[in-house]
Amino acid sequence: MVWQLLLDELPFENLRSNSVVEKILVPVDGSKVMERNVRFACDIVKALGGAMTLIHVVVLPASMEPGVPIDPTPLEQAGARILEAAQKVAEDSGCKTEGILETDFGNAGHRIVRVAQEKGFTLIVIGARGGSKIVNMLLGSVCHTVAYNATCPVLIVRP
Amino acid sequence: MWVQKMFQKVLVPIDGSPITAGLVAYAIGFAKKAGCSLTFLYVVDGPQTVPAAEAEKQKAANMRIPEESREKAATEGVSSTSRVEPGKPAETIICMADREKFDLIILGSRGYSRLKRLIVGSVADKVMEHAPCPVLIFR
Repeated sequence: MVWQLLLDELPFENLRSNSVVEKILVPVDGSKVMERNVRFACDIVKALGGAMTLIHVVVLPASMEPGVPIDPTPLEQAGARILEAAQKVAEDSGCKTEGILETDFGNAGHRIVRVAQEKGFTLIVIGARGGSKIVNMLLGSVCHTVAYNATCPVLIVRP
Repeated sequence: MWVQKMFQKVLVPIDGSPITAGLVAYAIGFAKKAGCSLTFLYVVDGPQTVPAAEAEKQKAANMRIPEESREKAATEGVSSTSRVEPGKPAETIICMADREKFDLIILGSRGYSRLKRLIVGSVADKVMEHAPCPVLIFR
């Protein structure tokens, strides 16, 4: 049919390849390697263009006593400091960033994936692992969750 | 500026599956922006002992997969090479990235379900867990 022919003519692949990196989401965790990951992400933004957003997910622990909720305020304050530190690193590398602070239970990865999907990010740049040297070869749990569940491309950075 | 040369050599393993077209288009778009060269790698898994006459034919057939991608990149003005290597896909990709000092691997992931992944595992899994360089997983 005519419609079919028209559709075939449209350069879908080209459209797609033009939007390679536009909105970049960079999860930060306050670990030792965070600084390097953020700098790496800044270099990517400088090399490829695009806007960078940092995200930190405050993970609330399960309450020890049933019925007694944990006060999230101190944890959220600590999270805000981590985000601030990361934004400072990015600024020092010459990148303007936005920060997103989220609070959730369980694995931070699921929240990261959801935010990326909802806000239409086109790339997630994430460190392979927070800190531990022994298992440096393997992926950390958050990275693992993001790598498997994200709906957009994921760039795994190695320390 | 070294930033411009952040990625110079990018490895793009392809397998001829339905995701390949999208992956190649994405890699070309990436290369255009990053100014890097691409290497399309097709790893041939399976027995390598076949009659000589057959082998030649098979070799030509295998070469066609990365060669098509290379031609596509060439029409977009991206420099690239095509390679065919025998061996286990994941190991070959990791070893090649390590030996030839690639800066990035762009991988396609078919998105298996949890259960299937547990049973069969996947090339993407092994590569992203053991790669010596950053890995970009395309979806």
